[in-house]
Amino acid sequence: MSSIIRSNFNILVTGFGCCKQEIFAVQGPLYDIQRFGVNFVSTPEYADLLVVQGFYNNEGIIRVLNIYEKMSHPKGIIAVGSCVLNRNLFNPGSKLLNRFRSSVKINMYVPGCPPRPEAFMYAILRIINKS
Amino acid sequence: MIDDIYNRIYPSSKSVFVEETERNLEFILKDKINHISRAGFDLLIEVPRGNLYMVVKELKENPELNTNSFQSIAAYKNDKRNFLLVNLKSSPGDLSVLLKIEMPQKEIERSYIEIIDILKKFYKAAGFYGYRDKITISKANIRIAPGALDGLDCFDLDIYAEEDKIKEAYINTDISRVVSDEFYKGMEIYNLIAYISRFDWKAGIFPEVCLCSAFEELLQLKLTKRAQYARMLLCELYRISNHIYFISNICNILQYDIAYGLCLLEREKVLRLIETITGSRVTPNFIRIGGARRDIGEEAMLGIRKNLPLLFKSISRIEKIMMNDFLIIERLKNTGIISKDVALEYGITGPNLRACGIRYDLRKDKDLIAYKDLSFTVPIRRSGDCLDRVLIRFSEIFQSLKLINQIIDNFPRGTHIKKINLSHLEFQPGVISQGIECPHGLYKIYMEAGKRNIDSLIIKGPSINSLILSEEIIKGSNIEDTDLILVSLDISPGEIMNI
Repeated sequence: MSSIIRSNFNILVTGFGCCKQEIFAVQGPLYDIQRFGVNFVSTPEYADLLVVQGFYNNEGIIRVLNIYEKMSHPKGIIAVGSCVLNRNLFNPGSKLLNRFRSSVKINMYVPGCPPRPEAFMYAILRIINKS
Repeated sequence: MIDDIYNRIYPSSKSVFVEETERNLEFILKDKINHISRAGFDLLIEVPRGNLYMVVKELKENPELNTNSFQSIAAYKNDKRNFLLVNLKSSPGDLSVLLKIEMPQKEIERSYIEIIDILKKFYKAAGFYGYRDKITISKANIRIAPGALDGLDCFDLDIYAEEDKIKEAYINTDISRVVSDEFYKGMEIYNLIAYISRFDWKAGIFPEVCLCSAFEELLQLKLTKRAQYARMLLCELYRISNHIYFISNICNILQYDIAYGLCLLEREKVLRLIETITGSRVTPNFIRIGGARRDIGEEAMLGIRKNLPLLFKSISRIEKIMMNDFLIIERLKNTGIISKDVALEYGITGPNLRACGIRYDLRKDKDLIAYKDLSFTVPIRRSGDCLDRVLIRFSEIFQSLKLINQIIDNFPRGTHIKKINLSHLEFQPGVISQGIECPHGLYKIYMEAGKRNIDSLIIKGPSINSLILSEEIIKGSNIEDTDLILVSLDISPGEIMNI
């Protein structure tokens, strides 16, 4: 199972925050995350890892949790960026993280506003190596 | 000699125009309005709700005024009173008016709908803000959720299609409402400046510059030349970064991996140049009231000067690769055509408007920062299709590179900031409307300030107009072109957050 995960790892990115452009920058030739077998997909059925980043209201949180349910096992979830992790203008009272934590187990946290592409790549590689 | 006289009394010919128009409007609308005054370069007209129809009719149909472009509507509260702010513009021409209508304490929703109904009679785009018939679940054959398509990550799209042709489209922005209208209440000014770049995260410098310029206008603060040039330099760098990101998104949809990879590579170079100046790639937090957070050193300038010709060469190569491929041209040509009249009616600004053939650039027309010291032309295209929207952005990248060259060659000496004490700020109580030419269009901030704090703040980005227009131009196109049209309009999700 671990060899399958190492050669093909699909990531689904939800949200529309600033972190999105730094996450998708890892597809470029400078970082080239595809050499580790990591791809970005658009449908939850094909995804192994869900990336939660950016701004969410109540409806957005419900949709993300629905997407996570549709993903098939083994699956994981990673929270990226200050908007999800810390208390700020878009997330007063840290309710976003608490809401996610009450429903799912978050595998990795990537702090930053936004985190650099290197930081995101390091998080992905740690998850791959762990599994 | 006449120029000197004008330059001493008025900062520019535009302010002469605004003052004359204010006098004309006062005469034309004398009994129908409460008050007219200048707010920055806009004219603020306080209109009683009962006279709104006559005022809008006069503004639209009078050939001298001809406000043919609907820009935005915003509702806000000030001192327990509810107001609606409607922005109308005349194009070509430079008249921009803000209609301020007071809403009653009770039955706010009913009066809001009445006002939208009045505006709908003159401007089709105003219908987006009112009640729209949803496509029923039985009729909508396709429901696209955010994230499923590129360019569609902050709204839902319901489509009714017959045999690949889209007949009806409905955009639902419920998922993007994450920030309340009064998010700025109780916030310190330096916090507000730090957060504001999230409202246009593709080009984070522009909201900062717009907000700080609005404060400087209220404080009657004149910047040093060095600070103005530093702001212009960063604006152009972020413009290049945004346009390259746009082109990379187009290549991603067209599955054109060569150009996609090259675009991301060039964008990294630009982001690294930005990082040497601001310390951050995406959200700069660099602009301050009175100037910039720190000075731009010689090393950063040398780095930019060394990289400019390399960037020019690489981006020309990307353009050549893309435009020599007839498949790309065939896919982009005649897709998502926006005519001149439709673009003006929906209040489109920026490269999307210039792609339709209308030469309007705020950097040329208003005295924005110190752009009058630089010489540049405003590129335009003719057809208004996706191909033209891509080509205009290539032209603007080259234009920005030349502007950066001029800025660095003539970078003035002096201080980078006029230090002010933020904790003891005292404004002239008043109203200010400030705009800036961001890579998506005209980014506007409207502010009402009391003596020590901000009473109301409205941020309106150009992506809202592009979003309203996309609902219109998706109709009649093929399903497979939906993501291409949405991405080609360059909708920035941060600007939709407080629609």
